[in-house]
Amino acid sequence: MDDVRMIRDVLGKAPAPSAEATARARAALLVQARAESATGTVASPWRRRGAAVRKRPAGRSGRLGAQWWHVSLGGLGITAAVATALVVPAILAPATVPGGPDRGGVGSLPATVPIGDGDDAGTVLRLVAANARLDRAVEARPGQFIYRVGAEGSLSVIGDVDGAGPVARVWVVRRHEMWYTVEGLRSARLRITEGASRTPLTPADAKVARELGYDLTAPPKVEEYGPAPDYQPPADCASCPAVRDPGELYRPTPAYLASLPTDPARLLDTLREAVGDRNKHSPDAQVFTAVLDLLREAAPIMPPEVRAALYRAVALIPGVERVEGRVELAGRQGVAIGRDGESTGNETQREELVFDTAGRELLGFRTVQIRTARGIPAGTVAAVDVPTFTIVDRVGEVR
Amino acid sequence: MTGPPVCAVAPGSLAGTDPPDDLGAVADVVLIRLSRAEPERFALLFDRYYPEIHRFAANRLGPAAADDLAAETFLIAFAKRTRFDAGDPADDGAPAERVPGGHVRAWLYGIATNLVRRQRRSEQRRYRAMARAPRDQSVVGHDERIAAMVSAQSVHRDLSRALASLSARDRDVLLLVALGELTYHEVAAALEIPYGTVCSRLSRARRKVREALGDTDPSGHDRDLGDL
Repeated sequence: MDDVRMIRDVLGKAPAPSAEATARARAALLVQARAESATGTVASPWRRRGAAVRKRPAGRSGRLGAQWWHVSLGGLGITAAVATALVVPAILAPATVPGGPDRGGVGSLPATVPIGDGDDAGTVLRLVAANARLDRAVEARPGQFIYRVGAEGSLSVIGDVDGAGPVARVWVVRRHEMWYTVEGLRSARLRITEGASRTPLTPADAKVARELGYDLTAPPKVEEYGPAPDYQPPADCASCPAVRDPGELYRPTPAYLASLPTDPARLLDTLREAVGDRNKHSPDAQVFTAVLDLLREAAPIMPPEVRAALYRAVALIPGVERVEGRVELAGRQGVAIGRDGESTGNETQREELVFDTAGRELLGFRTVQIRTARGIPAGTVAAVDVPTFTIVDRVGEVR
Repeated sequence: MTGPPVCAVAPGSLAGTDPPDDLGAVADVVLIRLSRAEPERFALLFDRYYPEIHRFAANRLGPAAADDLAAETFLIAFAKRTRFDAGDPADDGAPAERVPGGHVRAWLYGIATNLVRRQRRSEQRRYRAMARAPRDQSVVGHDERIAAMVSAQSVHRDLSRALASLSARDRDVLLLVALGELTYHEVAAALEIPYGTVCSRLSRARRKVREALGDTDPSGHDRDLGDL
């Protein structure tokens, strides 16, 4: 017998390490790794925006929904008597879109480091960025469409919201379906099923709602919108203008997305410039919203490195924090990263993006009330948006 | 005999054959590179190699000591990962003491070996104790399996005695090959010693082991260089 092999056979019989020792050693390593991550991602005070602040053309809304033509949200099933009906959601703009293309190709990924309960925002975002970079780019041929379907839930408060009168809080779910071209995120069709469900928070809310004349059982109202006036179905996409459309933040064409820096700090600078300072919100609030919107809408056609850089860029925005513990979104456990918005009137909300606890999927978005207002206690989820994406061949096709 | 030692490698021998360049080896290096920007990535290397590093340490020092040693191996590797030459173009101009690239697994074994060496006295004591282990007097009979068992016990004692008698350096090389299943090139990379030194230490160590096992073949010495 070969003496080397004999040594192996005779003296190489140690048992495998115990699960406990393994876990302890792994935890010790991760403590080091996370400490290093944390020091590496210290959110520097954000850089000054360059002098060349690009202003968006007048007359367009700040939200990505601008590319749709105006969609009326009337007809909520409220009688005329309920004059002060009020819909809360931040997710009002009809084209608030995509989130979770992160679902693709996950099965083939190497094992990743799940998000720990004690991880801060910087660590969480680093982890999801690292995982996102391993995702495959979504494959779509020119001429195909992205079908995005999302359930947007929001809390409606009905009644005398400004006075002392009774109010009813009703969770309204709107189903939101969109088909848009892969080439340039141009709308091809939008279908909104308003009031897919209406659920009073408590029996008391149901009672008030009935007294106010709010019809909890009204059938869903379906609205459908055709292609935007300038939409041309791509016939020969080698010459499809949308492919080469340079785009911009609010019209994130593939060319625009491919042009974005993959260095988080530079990406953030680029976004800050693109956002400008057009409104009353702080630049940090605006750029945070812009990143979320970009993810909602353009995530499916985003190069994985750009999506990873976006996550990392979020970590650099002052005020971004991890919501402690875990959160629930659409029946799944997740980890939320949010930023408290500035107060508008008596209302303060936090917008969040929610990842699954493995750090592999962007589950969707939440808007959470952080100050009690109009009968909505702090901590109440005011709106959620849980989108899914599919590549389809025809407008109207559902898969 | 003068001149550099030559390691002849017999076909089919476990030691001395390079594993094929598989994707796993590539991915190790990539992981090192990724872990520089994303330190948590290093946990994947842990998942991949902790069990065998632990087993390597446990075979040499016993399971209890292996818990600490294997854990420390990965902490040290993590701290040193920026000095591992992962073939990253961005590394140009990096410090010269980088470990030459590719052999991530060997590199980990090297770190573990250095840690074992700190405890070489206790390793030696352990082998001596095993060498003194009493014969199992309850074994009576002529059954073939019992005979084999008795024989295995005696081989165990003889091997332990041989390992206890080796110098720490020779033992390191021998056990990296025998227990860690490293190739000579990997041993050289792991211990940061020349290839030729690996050969000479290994051949010396094996000769002693064979002697301890009662190999009295007078030609054994001459075969040293050829029968691996």
